[in-house]
Amino acid sequence: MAKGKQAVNFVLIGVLAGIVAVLDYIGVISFPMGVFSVSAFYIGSAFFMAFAVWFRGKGLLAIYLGLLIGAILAGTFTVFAFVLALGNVIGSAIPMLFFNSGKFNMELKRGRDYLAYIVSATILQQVISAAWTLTGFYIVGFMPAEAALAAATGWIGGGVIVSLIIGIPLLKFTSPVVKRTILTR
Amino acid sequence: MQKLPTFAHYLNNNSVYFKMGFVFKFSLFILVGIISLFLQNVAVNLGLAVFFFILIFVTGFGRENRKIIYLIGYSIIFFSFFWVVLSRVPGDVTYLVWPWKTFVSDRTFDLLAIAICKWLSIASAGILFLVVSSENELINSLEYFNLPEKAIYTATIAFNTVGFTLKDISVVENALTARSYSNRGISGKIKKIYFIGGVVLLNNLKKIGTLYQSYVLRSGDD
Repeated sequence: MAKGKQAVNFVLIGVLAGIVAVLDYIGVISFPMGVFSVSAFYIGSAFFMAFAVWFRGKGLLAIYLGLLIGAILAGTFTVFAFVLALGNVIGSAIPMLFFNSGKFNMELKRGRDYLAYIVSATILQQVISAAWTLTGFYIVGFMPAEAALAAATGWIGGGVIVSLIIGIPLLKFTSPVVKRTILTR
Repeated sequence: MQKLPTFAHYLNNNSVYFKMGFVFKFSLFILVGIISLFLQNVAVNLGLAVFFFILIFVTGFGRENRKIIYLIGYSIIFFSFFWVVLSRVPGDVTYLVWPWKTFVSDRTFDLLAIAICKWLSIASAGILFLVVSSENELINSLEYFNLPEKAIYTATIAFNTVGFTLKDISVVENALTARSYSNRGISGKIKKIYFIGGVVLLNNLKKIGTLYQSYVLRSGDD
C-alpha cells in the first residue's frame, strides 16, 4: 500500500473514532437504559453501520477505538467497556459483509438492497449486539438468565426503530456523497 | 498552583497521581476491574468501592460531576429490578412468587448484593482512573512504548475530533434555535437528528483532506 494512502487511512480512522466517541457519549448520556453505559434508542448504532459499510475494516477499527474514547467522555470507562465495544463492532460487521459482497448496493436502489438492509442492519446487527452484551452481563452475574428476554426486547426494539428511521436515509442519501468525497481517494 | 486537566477533572500539577505514571494507573485499573468482575465477595467489592470513592472525592471531584453518580444509581435500580422481578433463584426461604412464575428468595438478595457491589467497585475504579489520568499522559505513554507515529497521530486526531464535533453540534443547534426551528413531537426530534448528524458527519469527513495535508507537511511522509 502506498505511504500516502496509509496516512489517509490513519487520519480517517482518527476522525471516525472521534465522531463515534461523540455519538456514544450522546447515546449514553441521553437515553440511559439503566445498565451502566447501555442506552435504548442508541442513535450511534445506525452511524456505526454506515461507517462499517463505507469504510470496512477501517470503519470497524474506528468504531472500537471511538467507543472506548466515548466511554472515557461519558465517565463509563470500565474493564467491561472493552467487551461491550466488541458487541457493536461485531454487529456492525454484519451489514458490512452484506453490502461489500458485491450483490447489494449501499445506496439502496433496488428492493433487494432494502431487504438486505433489513436482514443485516435492522435485525442481525441488533440481535448480535444485544446477544453479545447481555450474555456478558449474564456471565459476570449482573443479570439473571430469566431477564434476558425483557432486556433484549428493549435493546432490539429501540435498535430496530433507530435502524429504520436514521439508518436508511443515512445510507441512501449520504452514501453517494461519501463515495464522491472519501471513497474515491 | 497550576492545575492540569485530566479526563474528568483538574488536578494540581504536582499531584501524586501525575507522578504515578499512566501505565501503572491503567494496569491497576484493569487488574481491579478483572478481579471485581469474577470475585463473588460482597465485603471485598464493597470495601474496594468505598476506598475508590474516598480517593475520588479526596481529589476535590466536585458536585458538578454528579451525573456519573446518577448513572451508577440507575444501574443499581436496574439490577435490583431484574433480580427481584425476573429471577428464579432457589433458596431456603421463598418470600414472593410473581404471577409470571419467577420468585424472590433469600438467595435472590444475596446475588443482588453481589451484583451491586461488584458493579460499584468496577464503576468507581473507572471513575477514579478518569479523574487521575489525562489525555497527555495517554499520548505520552503511547510514544514511550514506541508505537508507530501514525497510531499516536490517530489517537490525537480522535481526541481532537471529539472537541470539534461537540462544537459543531452546538453551532448547528444554535442555528436551528435562531431560525425558530420547532423541536416538538417525534418528527421534529428526528428531523433535528438528521440536520445535526448530516452537517457534523459531512463537516468532519471534509476535514480528512486538511488533516492529511497537515500530516504530510509536518512529517514529509507522502
